[in-house]
Amino acid sequence: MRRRRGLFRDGANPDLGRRPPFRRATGAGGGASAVPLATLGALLAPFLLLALVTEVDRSPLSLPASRVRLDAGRGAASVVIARGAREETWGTLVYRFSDGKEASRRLGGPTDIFLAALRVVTEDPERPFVIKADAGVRYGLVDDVLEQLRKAGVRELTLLTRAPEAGGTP
Amino acid sequence: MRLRTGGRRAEIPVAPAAGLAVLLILLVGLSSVFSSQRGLLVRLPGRSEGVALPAPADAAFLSVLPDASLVLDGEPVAIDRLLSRLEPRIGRNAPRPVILHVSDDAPYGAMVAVVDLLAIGDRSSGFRVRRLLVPTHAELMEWARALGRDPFGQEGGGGSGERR
Repeated sequence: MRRRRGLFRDGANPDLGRRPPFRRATGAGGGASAVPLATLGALLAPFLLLALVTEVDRSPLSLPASRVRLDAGRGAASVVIARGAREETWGTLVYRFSDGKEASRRLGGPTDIFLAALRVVTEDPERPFVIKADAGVRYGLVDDVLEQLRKAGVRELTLLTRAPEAGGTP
Repeated sequence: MRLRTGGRRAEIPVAPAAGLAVLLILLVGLSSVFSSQRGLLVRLPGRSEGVALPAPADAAFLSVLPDASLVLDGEPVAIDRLLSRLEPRIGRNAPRPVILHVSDDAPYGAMVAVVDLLAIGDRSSGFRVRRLLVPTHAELMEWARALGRDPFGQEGGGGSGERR
């Protein structure tokens, strides 16, 4: 019965005039389909770019570990205290500052940090601040920066830390 | 007139949209987790405020020495016994403040470890330090000047003599 109706509509060839059957791309044949991967890559790329743009400081340093870790808030101005990473500057101290909007720039020392922080506080007294210091630096250097920030009128800041390694002590 | 649809129900394919939404939610969540800055919150006194430290008799004094060892009220203490030694001194219900002085030459990581320990407390007993003051060295010097003595002077070698 079905065969006869097909002959009447399509002539001698039953498949003539029919739409080809829809075939799902199942990856048969052992190869992964490139389309979903390309879509995933296209989605990931803007996110990675956004993450890089919004991060105002990417100084490589070893943060101290802590279990208590509170969110510093978005757009925080940051002070970086790190040791020179290059061989010729190894052991020397590097201060960097960012107002939370622009990329961090190198400063000469605590007095420059005071002036930079004062500009930020004058513009926005509620701007959060963070200190990103290497775990190995002398505390006296961090204390100097804390004192300059206090003098500049900073009321709250976050000492950036990293999460402790699993199973280890901070 | 009847529109022939070929017997198939018209439908909007939602599976790709749902997959995309899940992917976006995951990416937004991941990016917020990895881009957030976290750490220990510190409140600084205002520039116009004086040094608002408590009377020495009402506080416990904790020092971090250059070798990262600890001194509590003039007595050396190991970091793993710090909380048990602090609890009877500051009390649990009406806690006295702990004033932390960190030597200039102590590693910054040691200060963070002590502050973290005091903030976390002892999870088995529920004790933790509720009032921790970490004055800057300039504030400590001003406080010592007002007191007429070094409040940390009782600990051997841990007083203002080793500060800048």
